Formats: sequence, structure tokens, C-alpha cells
Amino acid sequence: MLFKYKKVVSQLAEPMVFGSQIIEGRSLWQDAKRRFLRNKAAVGCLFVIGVIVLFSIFGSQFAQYSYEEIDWLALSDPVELGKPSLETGHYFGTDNLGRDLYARTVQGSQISLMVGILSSAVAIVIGTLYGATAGFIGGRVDMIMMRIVEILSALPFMFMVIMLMVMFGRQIILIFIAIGAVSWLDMARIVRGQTLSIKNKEYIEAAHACGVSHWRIIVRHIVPNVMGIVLVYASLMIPGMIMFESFISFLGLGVQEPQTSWGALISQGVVSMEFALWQLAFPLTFLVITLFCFNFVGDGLRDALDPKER
Amino acid sequence: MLNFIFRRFLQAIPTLLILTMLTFALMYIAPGSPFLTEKGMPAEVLANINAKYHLDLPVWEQYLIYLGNLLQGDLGPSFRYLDFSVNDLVWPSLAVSATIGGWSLFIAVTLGIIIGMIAALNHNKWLDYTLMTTAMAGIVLPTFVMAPLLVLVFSYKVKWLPAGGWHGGDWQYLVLPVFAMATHLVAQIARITRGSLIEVMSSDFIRTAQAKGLPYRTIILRHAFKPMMLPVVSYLGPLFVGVLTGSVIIDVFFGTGGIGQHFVNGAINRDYSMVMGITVLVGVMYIAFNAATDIMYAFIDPKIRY
Repeated sequence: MLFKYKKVVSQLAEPMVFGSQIIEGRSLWQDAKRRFLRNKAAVGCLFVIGVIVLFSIFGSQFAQYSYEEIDWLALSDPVELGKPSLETGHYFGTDNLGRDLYARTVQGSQISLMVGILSSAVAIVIGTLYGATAGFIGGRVDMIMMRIVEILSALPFMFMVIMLMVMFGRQIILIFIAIGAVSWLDMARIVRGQTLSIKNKEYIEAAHACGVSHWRIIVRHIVPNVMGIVLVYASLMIPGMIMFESFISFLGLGVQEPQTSWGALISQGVVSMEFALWQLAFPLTFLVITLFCFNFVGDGLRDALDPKER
Repeated sequence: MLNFIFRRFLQAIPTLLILTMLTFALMYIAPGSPFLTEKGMPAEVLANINAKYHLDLPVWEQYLIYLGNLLQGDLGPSFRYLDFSVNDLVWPSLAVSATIGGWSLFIAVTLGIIIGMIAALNHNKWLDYTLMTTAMAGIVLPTFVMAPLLVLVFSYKVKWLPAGGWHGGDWQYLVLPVFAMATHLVAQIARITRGSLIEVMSSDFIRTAQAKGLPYRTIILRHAFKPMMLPVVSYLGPLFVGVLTGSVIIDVFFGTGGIGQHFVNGAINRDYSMVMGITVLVGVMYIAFNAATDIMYAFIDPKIRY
């Protein structure tokens, strides 16, 4: 059997000679990677996500039209001439205004993925640092910081975000800030709990003894050690964010025309689904597949990083 | 227990105060006004209107007036629908939302638990995989996609059910909104129940019960059910949020006239008192629901003492 070490220990440990074999300590991350790669569904989904990301970056190279250009011929009869076809160059058909749906889907994928990933990143950075600080310093500071989280999480944020969008105009940057600011709360709670459980470990004490400052202990020693759970949570947060943005866009409050997102495309597709189902089908397929895959990857990561599964 | 409820009640007060302050401040600094029309109006008329709605006072005074009215249960007059107070508009739509939300919650909890239990008890068999893949599909299909798809199939293609409207809550008008809202929630609860039951079934006290030779059904219902419910109950808070946000989509799409529609319209029309009223109402319900969840938790889990 192989020996398993915590990450910190394995970096120090020399390879051990056991009989004629050389046995190396395996870190938590190597272990998790191995378990993750065994999970075929999760690996497949990771691949699909990669393809969709590539599509959003390079897809416009293959488009025959730009996303805001109106094809006046297709506009004259969107139901017949706007159908998806290879000959006209509208691979996904056109929308009711004669704009190329393929180009718009590429554009929408960019926006949706960007919102999902960036606002998760905002939420994770704020949440992790906040939670780690509260948990590490403890005492009165912890109490006050967690009370703030408690009060904020009692606010119906979905409605606050809708209001923000209505009152300050539909700017993509506002969506990031609004969503990111809303969703760091859970992250902060989770990280604080983890921090409490590791802050009395010997290596933290050792860092203290060496005279490392609080801030450096938090950033160098605590944050890397709570990264596992943060990663799992992040992979489940991204689809939530994409869904949230789509929800806002569906209400007509999200991105500003002529820019678009999956949610905005779906809401336009819904209007014309009775006679032009492709307008709903293409963006919906992208949204659903992406959400599906992120959820599977998240589940896979959780199984891989769960210490109970070892 | 009484002590705990009282404490929760006290804690809700600062939260609500901050909530009203935040909303009020947001509306104050937002550009635009409910009475700015394209044609414009004479300055004297505008001044009169502003005076009637206290918009000419400093903002803290406006806030105090609002708070004073709120304490007497008065949500103020609607800025948009003249002759209507927010109370007149909100309570009927709240009844609609409660009907749809109540049915959705009921379906979500019962169906979700049953599906989750079936999946867990067939762990790693084909039935488990089928059910859980379906549940995942239910999770990734958002309400705003479920609703149009249901309408497309059941109203447009086979013409069994009406595509929208309320008509005093006839069951035909209730089916599609409730299903559109419940799908997502059923899937979530099924997944949580499954995970929880699998974990419970591998614990020591279940093995003891099996060793005693208890019948299978007794083990599930008497021993496994209660601990299984813990994560499900703690999901009830987020569940309630799901119902609220779902109601925005449902009301906009089906035109059922629930509370969600007022929020979007209120914000778009800058109907300040309407937005405030709904924010307060939703805030109160949200806090109450979370408190109720905590209390239920204490009943199920004997280890938790307040």
C-alpha cells in the first residue's frame, strides 16, 4: 500500500525506500486528480465545457455575418428564408430581425460564460478572504463579521438585483458587481468553518512562531488549505451564475442590445417558438448542455476531494 | 424554545430596518422619477404632486414618514395606479402567489422525497441512474425555459390546457404554472434526499437495526426517515427563495397576476411605494421562513438545543 500524506507533509518527505521499491508520498491533490480522472462522466463533461469555451472564442471566425448585421433578405420572411441552412450561411438560422443566429449564439456564449466565470471569481475571492479572516482572527471581530453576513443574507437579493438593473440601466459591469456581491455570503460561511478547523494546526503555530504576519498566514497557509472545498463550490457556483444572468436577461433587464446572452436569446426565441422553433432550440441547447456539464464536473470534484471517499 | 423564537424575532428588527433603508436609499439615488413624463408638466403641478407624495422633503424625513406608516400597516399609496393603495394591489396578488407557491411546494416536497428515496434504495442500479439523470435535467432546465416548453406542448400542440390567465384559480389555469415552478424544486429535493438517505443507510444504527432482524420497511420508516430529513429541511429556506424567484417568471409568462409581476412592473414604472412594499413583505416572509426552518430543525434533531 502507498502512504498518503497531507500536502504540506509530502513536500518535505523524501521518497521512501520500501524493499526494492521506491515509494513516493502522494499529495491530496494528486490523489484527487487520480480519482477525478477515473470519473468518466465528469471528464467527458470537462471536455464538452472546453469545446464550448473554444466555440465562444473562435466561433466567430466561421460566421458569415456579424452578430449585429441585418440580412434584409432573411428579414423579408424570417420563417422561410431565416431557417437554418448551410447555403445561406445562417447555420443556426436568423432571428426575427434577420440577424444571424449563429453569430449571435457565439456572442451570447461569450457573455454568458464571462458573467458566470467572472462573477464567480469575484464572489470566491471576496468570500474566501472574508471567511478566512473572520475565522482566523476570531473573537469579537469574527462575531461582528459574521453578523454582517447574517443580516445581508436575510435580504431578498434577487429583487435587489432586479431593482439595481432597472434603476441604473442595463450595463454588463453592473451585472458582475451585483451578482458577485450577492453570492460571496455562502462562500464566506463555508471558508470560515474550514478555517476554524485548521487554525490550531501545528504548521499555523509554527508560522506564528516564525513571526509571520496575520495577513501572510491567511494568504499563504490558510487559503491554500481550504482551496479544495472552494474549488468544489466554485464549480457549482458558475452554472448558478449563468442561470442567474439568463434569468435577468429573460426578464429583459440583462445585457443591452445588440449584445446578447443565452438568456436574452432564449427570451426572444420563446416569443417566436410557435413558427420558428430553431430560435429557441439553439441557444437553449447551449445553455442546458453547459449547465449540465458544470454540474457533473462539480459532482465529480466533490467526490474526488471528499476525504471520506479515500 | 419560546426564548429562541423571541430572540429570532428581535434579530429580525435590525435586518428589516437595514433592508428598508437600503431600498429607500437605492430609489433615492436612482435617476428618474415616477412623475417624469415625456411631455413634461408645468412646474407648479409637479411641485403639487411632489408635495402630496412628500417627495419635496429631505430624504431622511421621507424615510421616517414611510416607517411611521409602515408601523401602522400602511404601505402607502401607489405612485402609478392612482386611487389604489399598495395594500389594495398587493394582498390579492399575494393570495394568487400563495396558491401557486403552496401547491408547488407540496408537490416538490412529496414527489422529491419519494423519488429521492427510490433512487437511494436502488443505489448504483439502473433505476438510480435514470432517476438522477432526469433530476439533473430538471435542475438545469430553468423555470423560464420550463414554462414556455410546457405551453408549447400542452397549450399549443395538444391544446389541453390554457396558456395563461388566472380566472379565479380554476384548476386548468393552475396546472401549468405549478408544474413549471415545481419541476426544478422536485429535482433539487430528490437529489438531496438521495444523498442523505445513502449516507444514513450506511451508518451504525441502521446496521444494528438490520442485525436485530427488523423488517425492511420498519428500518426505513422508523429509523432512517428522520435523520434523512435533516438536510431536506435545511433546504427549505433556499426552496422558498426558489418559489419567490420562480413567481417572477411565472407571473410574467403566464399572466397569473401574482406578486412577482408587481415587482418587475413596480421597478420599471418607478412605483417607489410598490417596490418598498413588496421588498418589506418579501423580506418579512423570508425571515419568517428561515426562522420556521430552524425551529423545525430543532424538532427533528434532538442534538440541537436552542
